[in-house]
Amino acid sequence: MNSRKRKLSGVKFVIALIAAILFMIPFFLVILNSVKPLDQIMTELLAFPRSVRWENYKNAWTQVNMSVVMRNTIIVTGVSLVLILLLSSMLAYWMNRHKTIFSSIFEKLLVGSLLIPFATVMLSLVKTMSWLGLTNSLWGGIITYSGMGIAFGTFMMSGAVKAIPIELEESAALDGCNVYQRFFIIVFPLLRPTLLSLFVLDLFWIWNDYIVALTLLNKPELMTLQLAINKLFGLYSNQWDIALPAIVMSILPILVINVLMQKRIVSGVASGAVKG
Amino acid sequence: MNKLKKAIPHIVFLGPAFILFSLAVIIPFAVSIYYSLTDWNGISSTSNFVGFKNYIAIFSGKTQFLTAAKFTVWIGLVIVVLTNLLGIALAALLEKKFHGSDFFRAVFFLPNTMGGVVMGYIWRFIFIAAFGALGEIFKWKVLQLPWLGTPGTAYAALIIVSVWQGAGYVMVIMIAALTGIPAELTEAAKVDGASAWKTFWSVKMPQCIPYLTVCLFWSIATSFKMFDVNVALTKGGPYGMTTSMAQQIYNDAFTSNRYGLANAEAMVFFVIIFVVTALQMYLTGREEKRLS
Repeated sequence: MNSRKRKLSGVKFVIALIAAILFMIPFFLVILNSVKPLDQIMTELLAFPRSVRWENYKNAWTQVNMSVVMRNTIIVTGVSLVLILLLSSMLAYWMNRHKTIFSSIFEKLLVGSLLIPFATVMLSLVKTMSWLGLTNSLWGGIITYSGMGIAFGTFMMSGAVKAIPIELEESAALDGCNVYQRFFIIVFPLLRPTLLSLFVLDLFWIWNDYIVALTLLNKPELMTLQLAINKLFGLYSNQWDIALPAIVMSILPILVINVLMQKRIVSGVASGAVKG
Repeated sequence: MNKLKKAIPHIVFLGPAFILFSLAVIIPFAVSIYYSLTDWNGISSTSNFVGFKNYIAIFSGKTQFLTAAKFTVWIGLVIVVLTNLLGIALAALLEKKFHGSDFFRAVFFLPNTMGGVVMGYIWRFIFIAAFGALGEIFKWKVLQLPWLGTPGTAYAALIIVSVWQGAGYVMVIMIAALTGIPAELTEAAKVDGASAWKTFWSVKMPQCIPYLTVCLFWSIATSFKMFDVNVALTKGGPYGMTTSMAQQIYNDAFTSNRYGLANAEAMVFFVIIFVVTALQMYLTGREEKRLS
């Protein structure tokens, strides 16, 4: 029995290994060819590079204007994430502990908005942002990501808020804590595990998003990574020695996070799916 | 004064979120409804109220939207079936822990953590350059086709990339489903002499149906909203035959300057996605109640 079991996991291992290699080949070939000169990519695509040509990366960095693009992407993703995590927990807390007519209408609107695809509002969003004079600033993107992200965020956080015993706050209130102290000192730190899951989900969403950025940040000085990659391919569609290193640079942060937070990602996705 | 003081915490906790949400969702949604009833071209200073003319134009087939909708729905359904089958297979493979199984889970989930545009371009490199190189070595005709140049192969390319990206998600959910099945059930089937294959499909799968419906509706909603991968891989071509619904809306508004019509299309798109997503939320909600 035991040897049969061991044999079975051996077979599983081999099947998984073959499937994993098939899954990873595209990444592998892109990384391998990103350090070759163009003529070698065309003639010896499957061979190992004869020498590593870091110049490709330098060229891609300047062509993409990577320092500006990276900065924009980090600012938009970072500020939106802070707003989503903070405001979603505040909303979930307030809707759970201090129900009013307004808060329950707001809650229904938030859940309802999960049914609206972005393409439905994208045209009028451009109008709305230009009325506000935000078409030339990263704030157009930040407001959109956080305004949309709050809906799912509140949904996810409210489960975590419900799980916190109200007695904790009651005793803090007796000790003279006001409502802000009760939320920020007592409740907010206890929400950490769920906040971390939400952080991972929204980080991938915003970092990888193309359609919101396309409608609101499509200007050289506001460009984010996904837009810049798309533009680069429009200009140099067969210049693989520039395009491939740019791709590698754009996925590098995601790869690092995948390695660092492997377990958190999988459990975050699973819990987000059952709730969302 | 006292009343105002009482209102302050309400404003602090709800106010900022309400403003952001209104700007990003409520106002644009209302504005879209209004423009869908006009003939505005997006630029000129005048526009006329035309009632439901735009909607009639869409459903009478005078515009490209129905073509895009037909394409999106049928390719979406193919993607849904294949993504779920591959995802279930991977979940079955990795459900029980063995040496390296955690690593394999991460590998299969990896494409799901990356953006559609970048994924599309990675595969563009594979279809255009790498397939050619492989074709020269193996002399397989399939590899030497102009993959992104003819409709049939472009469909296949979109399906391959989407399934590759989505299967990891289904795998994660289905692993959660499979590990939640009580061991007694499978033990009993084993005692009765059922094969592993039979146990999987007739004992385990029925237990997973709630999770499976979540996966189904998630993959339907995702593929109906497809946009990035088409932009990167096929640009909607050849001959506009791989243009998705979201792409059609974008093109009509910003390329053809038919802003009013595009807003009407956006509303039709909303109704389609609404039905699919509402069903998914109803099913997950029911599932959560059952579990708690």
